[in-house]
Amino acid sequence: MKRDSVTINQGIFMVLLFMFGSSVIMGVNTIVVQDTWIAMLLGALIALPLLLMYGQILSRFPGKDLFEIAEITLGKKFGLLVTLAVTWYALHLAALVLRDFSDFVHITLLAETPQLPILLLMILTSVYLTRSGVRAIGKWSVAIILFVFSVVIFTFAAALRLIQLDDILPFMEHPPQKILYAGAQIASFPYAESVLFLCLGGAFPKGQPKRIYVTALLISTVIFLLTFLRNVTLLGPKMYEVNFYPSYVTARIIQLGNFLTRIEGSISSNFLMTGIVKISVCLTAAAKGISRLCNLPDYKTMAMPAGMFVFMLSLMLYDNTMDVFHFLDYYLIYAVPFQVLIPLLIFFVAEVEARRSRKSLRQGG
Amino acid sequence: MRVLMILVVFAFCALYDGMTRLNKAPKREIVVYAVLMFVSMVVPIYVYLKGVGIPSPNYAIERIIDFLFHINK
Repeated sequence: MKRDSVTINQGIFMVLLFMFGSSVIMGVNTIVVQDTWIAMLLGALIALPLLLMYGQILSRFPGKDLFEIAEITLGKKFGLLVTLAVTWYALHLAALVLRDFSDFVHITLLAETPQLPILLLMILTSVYLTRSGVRAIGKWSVAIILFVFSVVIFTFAAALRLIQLDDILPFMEHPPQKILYAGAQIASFPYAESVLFLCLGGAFPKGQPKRIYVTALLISTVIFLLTFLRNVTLLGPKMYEVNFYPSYVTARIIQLGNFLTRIEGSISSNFLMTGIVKISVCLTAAAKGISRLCNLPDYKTMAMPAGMFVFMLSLMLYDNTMDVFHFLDYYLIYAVPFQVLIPLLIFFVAEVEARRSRKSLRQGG
Repeated sequence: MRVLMILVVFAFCALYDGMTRLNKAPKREIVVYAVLMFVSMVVPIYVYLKGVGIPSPNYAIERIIDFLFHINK
């Protein structure tokens, strides 16, 4: 049977677009306003050991997904508990992103259209991509990455004449604890959400997971910094802080001469395309988890029920859009078990076992 | 209208999967598929018909975290 695997570049672009996800339009955490760039760098530093740990887990167990690894390291019962927890996290995250989508499209583009058809169209597209396999997601990532980069660079270049660098000041206006807290929030959303790639099993080439994670982290940090710089210097700190979709609002201001205006459509397409990747990866993880829990042979059949469950969940997550941003305050604590505790436990047990077997081999030899 | 839309989409998806994948699938897979699809269909229809809210997992998570860590926003 052909393994559902991706090349190094496809892997990097998949993780990169997953990290972009909803952050490309909602922006990253804005509680420290003009000091967000410091929080971004701190967030990348905090996320780096986490991503290296994820890469090490995949390298230690090539060809296996997180659910199999959990069963091997923690035993059958705890392995099932981990599978249940991670499956729930994947479903919940997919529902959050899907709801972000529909809220954004409903608010900015199609105000008269009810959210239901928007949700259904988005989730059916993601289910189709999930059922096509991880390789298809990788190829889709390669196909759109050029467009995503072009939009970011073009909007940044077009905004150069409007930029006011004074809006970055004053430097360190916010207390260091608040900046550190913002950095931790950025590490949690979006960087450490890439823990779900552990569920894709042997998709990454052998020996390359750490390289894929680190490269994606570096590129995404640079892109986020550029995006932040563009947004805060165009909107100013106060407008940047209060806006729900700073990238979209920034794009509305940008124009080149009298002929190139209303380029916010390109930002919207960026969001839709990266969001499809994020939801598809979450659905793949969830479908694998469900098939593992129910002892089923093929995860692709579970993509549709997982997608429909995500659709149902997205309908009941919030009463209004403002609650989306309110939940971000709680997300850091909520995500800790899934992003830190479970992988750390598996990593620790796997490393101890590996050292023990190396020791016994040396003694036996 | 919304209820009709949900019914049509779910019926179409189930029919398509039934004719392409589930006809060769083991019984367990069909049962899991049917249960998940049924729950995912019934909940939104119930919400739209009855006009009631279903407890949101997000608000439950917020309450639990507020209780444990006293974030109090």
